[in-house]
Amino acid sequence: MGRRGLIIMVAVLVALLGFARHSSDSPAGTSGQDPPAFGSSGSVTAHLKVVPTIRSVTVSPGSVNFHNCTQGTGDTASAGDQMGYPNGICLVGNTGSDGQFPVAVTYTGLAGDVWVSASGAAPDNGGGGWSLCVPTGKPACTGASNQPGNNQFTIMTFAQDVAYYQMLTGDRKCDTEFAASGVCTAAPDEFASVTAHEGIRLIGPAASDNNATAWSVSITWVAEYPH
Amino acid sequence: MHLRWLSAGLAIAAGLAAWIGFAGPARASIGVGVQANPVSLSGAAHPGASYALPSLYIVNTGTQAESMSVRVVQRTGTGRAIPGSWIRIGGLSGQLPPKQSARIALELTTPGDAEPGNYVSDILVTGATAHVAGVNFGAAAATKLEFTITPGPPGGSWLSIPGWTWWVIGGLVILAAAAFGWRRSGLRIRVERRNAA
Repeated sequence: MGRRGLIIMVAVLVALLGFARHSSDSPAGTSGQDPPAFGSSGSVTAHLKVVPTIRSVTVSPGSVNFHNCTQGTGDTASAGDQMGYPNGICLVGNTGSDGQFPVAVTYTGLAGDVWVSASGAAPDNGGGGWSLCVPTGKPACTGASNQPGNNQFTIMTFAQDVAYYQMLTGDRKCDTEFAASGVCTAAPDEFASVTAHEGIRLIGPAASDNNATAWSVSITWVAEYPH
Repeated sequence: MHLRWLSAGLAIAAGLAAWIGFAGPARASIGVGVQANPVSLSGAAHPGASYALPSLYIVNTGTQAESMSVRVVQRTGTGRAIPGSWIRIGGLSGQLPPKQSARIALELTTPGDAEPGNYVSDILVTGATAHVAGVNFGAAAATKLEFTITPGPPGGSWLSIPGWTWWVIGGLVILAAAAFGWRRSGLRIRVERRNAA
């Protein structure tokens, strides 16, 4: 090996030593793995919270059944969880001093609005259904005293801290049951979540062309950015 | 004595099993989340072109698998409404399991006669489960979809060039290369006509 080879070998060794030294250094000059010169080592776990990047709405439970049905006359009067004619009334939950609000609607994320809408009632026999109506509005209820007429029904929500029913239609509406102030803005503290506990009230038709005994309706809540 | 303890243990186990069996489905929830940021096209769009929009983030916040539907809905406010036919929405394969998220591909195709202006609508994501008799609840979440159309021919995007144009360009390049190679080779074809007499 000549002089030139010796120089190259020394250069390679110096480079390797330098690389090894730099690779053992931590980026900030400290390392949890490097033991201190004296004393014992320790570690701290730091927890970090970040703002949410979604808006969501979650409804629990996913489905419910009506109960406490009242109204109706004669042989077609309501009984228990069976709605009667004309204009039987059924509830999910209860109003009043012993109020129960079994439907939990939870909004999560950045501040936004909560909207709600309902569908027509569909019978389990696949025949004609009932359509939604509104006592004072459109589509209007055609029965006596603005009650639902034939093949019509109304459905509304109620909440603990809100004094009135919110009438639902096929068009989505601001869910005023969501906030006691009568607005539907959901502004969770610390970007966490806010939950509204609600009940449901249904007034059935004066009469039904379809003699099905099991019906279903849908209520959908929508989380959206503030308008 | 042992028998009494055994009976008490069995009763507690049966009670727990019943509680789990009944409370589980009864407390099942349905939920949908969507990205808070609006879906926006970077840069302006032009009439008669296609653009890939940023994908849409959705999440099932409920406790049961849900079928997710995504659609464009009009909203009141400033800006032109986006026709639903302009937005091609990628599909989800099957149901979205609870607490799982997915990204939905979105593509904008503007017609040749699209009016210039700012376009704004909502993208609505709705979760659904199997319907049962009674009251079925649904959950949905919406975010904003927005873009701007400026007049002029589409440009700047290779994707906006029709596919047949590439075939024509390729054919011309091959012909030019063949002619160039022929001339460089020095080969000549001479056509002569000889009289039979």
